[in-house]
Amino acid sequence: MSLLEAKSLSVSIAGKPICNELNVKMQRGECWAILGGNGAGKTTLLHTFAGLRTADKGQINFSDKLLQHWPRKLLSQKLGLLLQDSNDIFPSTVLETVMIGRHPHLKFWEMESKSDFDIASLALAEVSLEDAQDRQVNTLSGGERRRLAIATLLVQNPELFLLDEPTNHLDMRYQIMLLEMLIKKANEQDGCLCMVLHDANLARRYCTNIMLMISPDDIITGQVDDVLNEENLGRLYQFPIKSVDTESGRVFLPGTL
Amino acid sequence: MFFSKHIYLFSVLVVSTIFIFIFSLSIGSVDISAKQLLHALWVQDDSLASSVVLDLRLPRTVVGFMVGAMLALAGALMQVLLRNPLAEPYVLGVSGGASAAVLIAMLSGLSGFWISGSAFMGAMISMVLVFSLAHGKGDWSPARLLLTGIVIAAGWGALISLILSITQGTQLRGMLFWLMGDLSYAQYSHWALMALVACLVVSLMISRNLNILARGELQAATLGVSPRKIRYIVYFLSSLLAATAVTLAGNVGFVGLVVPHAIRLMVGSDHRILLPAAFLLGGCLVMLADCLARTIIAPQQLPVGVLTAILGIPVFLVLLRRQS
Repeated sequence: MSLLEAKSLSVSIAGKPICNELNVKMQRGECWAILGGNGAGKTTLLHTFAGLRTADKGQINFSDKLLQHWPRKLLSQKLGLLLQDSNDIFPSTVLETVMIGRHPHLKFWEMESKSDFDIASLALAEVSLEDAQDRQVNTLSGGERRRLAIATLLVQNPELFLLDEPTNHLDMRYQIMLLEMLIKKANEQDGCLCMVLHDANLARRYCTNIMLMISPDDIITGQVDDVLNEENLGRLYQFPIKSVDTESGRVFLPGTL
Repeated sequence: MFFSKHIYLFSVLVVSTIFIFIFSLSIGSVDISAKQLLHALWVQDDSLASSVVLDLRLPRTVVGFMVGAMLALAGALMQVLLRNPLAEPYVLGVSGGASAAVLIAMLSGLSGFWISGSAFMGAMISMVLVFSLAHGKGDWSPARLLLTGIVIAAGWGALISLILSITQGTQLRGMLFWLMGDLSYAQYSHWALMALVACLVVSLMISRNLNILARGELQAATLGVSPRKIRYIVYFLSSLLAATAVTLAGNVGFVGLVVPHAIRLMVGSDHRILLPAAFLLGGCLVMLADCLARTIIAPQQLPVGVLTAILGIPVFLVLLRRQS
């Protein structure tokens, strides 16, 4: 049984089509990368998967039930979305911020208990922010905020992780560490991970399945080894892409026009 | 475990509230000792002290507290609704509508109940107007709501200026006092108290949702909060509070903007703490300002709105400096 399934899905934003008649199934245990050029609609599609936007046509099933039939709160216990960026207008500490991830798991009159705080501390430790609990969020660097957002998602503890450019602002070490950690968490849940990426090499290294958003009518989905090649990536980015085989696997590089 | 670290703040606020309340009952043109005060409150005979306390000072003090609490609560809610730290209870034109209606009523020679009735009606009209215009066909984004509110408020402002410029003599002074916020004719009302308590309870019930909504609609939606539903509730609560406060005491400025921020600077933005703390601090500030307003140059009275600003600004600036 698939965790997320799109059937002849058509999505548009402000009259601009993003995808037409898209069919895709994401199974438990898989890790998906969505690749596409700037403005291809990766974020819009991801938000549609998360139920934040309605599709023009077609349907999305989550755990074999129509997405819009899920009660919002129950859905948010099982489906989490890492937004592309967070903007905090009001002062707030790191601990307060990470605790919002517990919201879907608490009854509306309930206070956070000791165990919720333990979950939050563990998540902060996973992203190496355990010593920053009492810091104000607006004093964090871009990379630290990204890690905080990832920790918030861990605290939410969903089965389907939708990640919008999770590696934004992260240095190389954290890109690798955090992607590996997220994949491990998704696997522990027997869940699934689907992320928008700009780095084909990270996609090749960590993902099992790839979606290439070349145009609304030309969206390629498939196993990583079948889909990720020079030709497809060249069409995707409309730019020559070269591949080099190294001892740690194949690497894609931008060529020259 | 959650509230324990804020016990200190709440104890200080509760003690201050009680202290200022008693202080407010005992000072004024007639000096009343602690003994007389207790006597007046408990025995309620027809002595001078009793009638001064029960008929004049008690209603006025209670109304002062209610107005401050309402404005602070409305301000905190409005700041989340518009996701804008500069938002305050009057920003969406509620007070403008009330003021315009009151000035028209005064110009027509109405008084007493009709003044507060028109204030409430004007506030409600403005609230419905902004709500439906901002809603339109499209989505109800905070930016659109804010712009609609500001434009409507500017419209009311023009109408108020027009009325003031064609009014003459003694009527003008009454109008100006009303516009500046004035408790001297304030009438205690059970309805207002019930509205205040109901709004406090409902806003506390949704306070964790407010924490999430303050971080943006998308973030809220991903965590299972329906942004639209919560926004409607918050719009209704903050407008009702602002409308009731304006009806009771006119435009008491500054409280609604600065009290929520003062609490944020002290304890952060968790609305489960912020809302009740702002409620108490707002009440304290207006009660204290009113004590000064009626004693500084007694027997003449000053508009309480002027005093809230004079009292609040230095405190706020000190907090702001300490934070940075």
